[in-house]
Amino acid sequence: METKEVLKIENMCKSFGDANIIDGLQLSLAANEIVAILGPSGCGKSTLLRSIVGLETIDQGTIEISSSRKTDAVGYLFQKPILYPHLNVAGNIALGLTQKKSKQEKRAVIAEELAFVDMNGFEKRRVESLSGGEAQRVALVRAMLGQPDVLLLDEPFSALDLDTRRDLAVETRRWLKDRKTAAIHVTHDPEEAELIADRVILWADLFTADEEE
Amino acid sequence: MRQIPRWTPRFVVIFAYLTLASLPFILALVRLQVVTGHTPIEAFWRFGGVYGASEALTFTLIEASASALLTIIIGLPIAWHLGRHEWRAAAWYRAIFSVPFVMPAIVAAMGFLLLIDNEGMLFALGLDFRTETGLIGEVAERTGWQHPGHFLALVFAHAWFNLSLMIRFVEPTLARLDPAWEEQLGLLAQGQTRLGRIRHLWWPVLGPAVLCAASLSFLFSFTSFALVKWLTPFNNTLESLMAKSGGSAGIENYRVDTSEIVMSASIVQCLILLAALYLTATLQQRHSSRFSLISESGARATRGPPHWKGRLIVYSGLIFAIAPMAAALLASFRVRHGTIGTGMSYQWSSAGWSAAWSGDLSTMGIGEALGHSLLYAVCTLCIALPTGWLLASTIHALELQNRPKLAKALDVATLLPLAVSAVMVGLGVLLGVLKWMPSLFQWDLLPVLPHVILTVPFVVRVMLPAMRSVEPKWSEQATVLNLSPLRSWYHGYFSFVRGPAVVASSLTVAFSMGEFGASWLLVRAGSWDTLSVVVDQLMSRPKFDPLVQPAAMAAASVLMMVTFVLFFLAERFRPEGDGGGF
Repeated sequence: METKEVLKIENMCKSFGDANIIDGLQLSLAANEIVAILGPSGCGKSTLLRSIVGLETIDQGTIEISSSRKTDAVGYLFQKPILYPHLNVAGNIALGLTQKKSKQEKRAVIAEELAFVDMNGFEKRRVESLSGGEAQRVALVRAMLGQPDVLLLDEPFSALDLDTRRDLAVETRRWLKDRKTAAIHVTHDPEEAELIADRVILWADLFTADEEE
Repeated sequence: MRQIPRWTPRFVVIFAYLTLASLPFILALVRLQVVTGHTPIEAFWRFGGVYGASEALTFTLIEASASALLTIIIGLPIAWHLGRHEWRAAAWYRAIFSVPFVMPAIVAAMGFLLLIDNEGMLFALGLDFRTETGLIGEVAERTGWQHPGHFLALVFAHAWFNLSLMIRFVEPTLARLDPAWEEQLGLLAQGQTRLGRIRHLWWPVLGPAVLCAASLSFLFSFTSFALVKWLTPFNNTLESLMAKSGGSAGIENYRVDTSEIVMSASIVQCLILLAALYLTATLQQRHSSRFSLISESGARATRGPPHWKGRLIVYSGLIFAIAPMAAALLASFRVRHGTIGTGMSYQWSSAGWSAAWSGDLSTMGIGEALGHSLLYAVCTLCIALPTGWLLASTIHALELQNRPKLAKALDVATLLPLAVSAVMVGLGVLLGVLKWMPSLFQWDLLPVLPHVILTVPFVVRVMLPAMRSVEPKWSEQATVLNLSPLRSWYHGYFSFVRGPAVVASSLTVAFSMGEFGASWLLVRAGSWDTLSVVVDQLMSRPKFDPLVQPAAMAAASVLMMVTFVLFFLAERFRPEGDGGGF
C-alpha cells in the first residue's frame, strides 16, 4: 500500500551571504511518520526546519506540504521553549487555540491537554517557575493544539539533562503517535534520534540523489 | 562581595541633599503662608477662586496631554522602524533624535519661532501658526477656538522636545528583542492577525515603555516654561503663571493676590506632578523587560535593512529633529535691511554674531555669558556628580542588603525635584531662602543651588542602572588576583561605571547650561547672566534694530553647539545596549 506523503522537499538550496548552508537537499515525509535528522551543530538543520515553516526563504528548490489547511499545517518547537512571561501556563497554551471558544471551553481544553502531558493543575503556574522539561512540555502542548499535519522539533531537548531528555523523547514519540502527527526531529544525539524516530537520516544523506531509508 | 562604604557620612550627604531639595519649597510655602494668611491646605481649596488659576490648569492639562499623545504618534513609528532594522548609522540617528531633549528650551523656542514666523518655512507652506491667518485662521473662526496656531505650535514643540524619550525608552528594547518571540507567535493561531500580535506580544513588550515615555512627556510638558512663554503668549500654564507672579510674591502687604496665585498653583502643580512621577516610577519598574534580549547587531541582522516606508518615517523624523536647530543657526546669519513700510530685504552677514559677542544689545556679550554658564555648570557638576553618585550607590547598597522598601523610598525621593519643576525650585529659592536671608541674593553663585537640585536626579538615573549591572564576580576576581584595594576597585568596579559617569557629567553640564526657568528668576537682575538668560533678554527687546534677532540666534546657536558637543561626547561613552531612559 502506498503511504501518503505530507511533506516533500526537492533540490532545496539556501545560503547566507557567501556561505552555502544547504545545497540540493531532498526529503520526503509520510503521514504519521517521525523522522530524525542527525547532524553536527551548525550544519544547517535549524535552517532546514525554519525554511519548511516559512521563517526563512529558500534560494532554490521546492517545499511542498500536502494539507487541506491553509494555515497551521505545520507546528514548530523551538530549541528553547518560547513561553511568554506575562502569561501563565494556561495563557501560553491558549495562544495555540485556533477557534473562538468560551472561557469554560478553553479551560476544559487546556486542562485536557495538560493532563495529556502529565501536568495536571499547572494552569495557573508562572512560566518562570517551570523546569526546563516542564516548559518544553507546555510548548509541545501549545504546538500540538492546532493539530498540525507536521510538527518540526528543533533540538527541543538539547538543553535538558540526560534523564529528562530520554524521558521526553519517549513521551513525545507516544504523544505524536497518539495524535497521528508526522514529525521531523533534528538533533546531534544519536540515542535521542533512535528513541523518538521511525527513521533516522544522517544530514549528509539528505544530499544524495535518492534519500536513503 | 563589594564592600559597602560606611553609612554615617553617606547619610549626612543624603540628608543634606534631600533637605536642600525640599527646604526652599517648604520655606517658600511658610513665607507665602505668612503673607496670605492661608495654610497650604486652605490654599489648595481656594485654588478655584484664584484669578487665572483654573484657566491655567485647564490649559496646562490639555496641552500636556496633547503633547504626550503627539509624542507617541510621532515618536513610536520612528522608534519602531529605527529599532527593528539594520541601519548603517543607527548610533548617529539615535544621538540626533536624543539631542532635542538636552537642548535648552529657550533654543528650542527660538527655533520653533523661526519656523512659524511670517518669514518661516511653515508660513511659506501656508501654515500661519503665529498670526493665525489662512487655514489656521479659518479653523479658529469656524470652531471658536482661540489661538489654535499657538496651541499647535506649542504641542509640536513639546513633541519635538520629548521625542527622545520615546526613542530612548522604546527603541533599545525593540533593537535587542530576541526575534524568536515574534517568530513563535507568528506560528501560533493567536498570532495570525495584527491585532493578535499587538495584544500578545507588542503591548506586553512595549506598553510599559510607551506609557512611561508618555507620562514623562506629560510631566515635562506640564512644567515647560520657555516654550510656553514664547509660543503661547496669550495662554498661561501653571508654571508660567507662577513665574509671572513670582516677582511680586512673598512681600507682606504688597500684591497679596500674587502670593495667593503662587501658593495655590504650586501646591496643585506639585500634587499633579507627584501623581505623574509615581506613575512613571511604577511603569519604569515594569519596563525592565522579562522578555529575553539578544545582542543588538544580531537582532538587527535578522530583520535586515529597512524598506522604503521605514526610511521615509525615520528620515522625516530626522528632519523634524534638526529643523528648529538649523533654522536658529541660519537665522543668526540673516540680517534684515529696511523697515516694514519701506520694503524689507535680507542679507547674509555675521553682523549678528559680532553684536552678540560685543554685548551691545544685551547686558553682556555671549563670551562673558558663556563663561558664567560654564562656571555655573562646573560648580553644579562638582556638587551634583558626587551627590548623585552617593545617592545611587546607597540605593544599590540597600538593594544588595535586601532592603528593597528603603531602596525604593530613597529612589523615589531622588526623583522629587522633578516634581517641583524649575520655576518652582527658582521660586522656592527666591521666596524661601532669599526672603529669610536677603544677603544671599548678593551671592553670584546662587543659581548653582537650583541647578544642583535639578540635575542630581539625572545623575542618579544614569548611575543607578550602571551600578546594578556591575557583577560582583569582577571585584571578586580582582581580589583573588591579590590586587591592591585601589587597583581592585578600579578594575573590578570603576572601569565599569566610568562610561556612565562621563555620560552623567555631560548631561549635568548640558542641563545646567541650558537651564532657564530658575536662572531667569534668580539672575535676571544680576550681573552674572547666563547664556540662556541673554538669549531671552535679546528676544524680549523690540525688533527695530535689525541685529537683535540675529544676535539672539547667535547666542542660541552657541548654546546649541556647546550642548551638541557635550551630548555627542556623552553618547560616545554610553555603554552598548544601554536600555535607554534618563
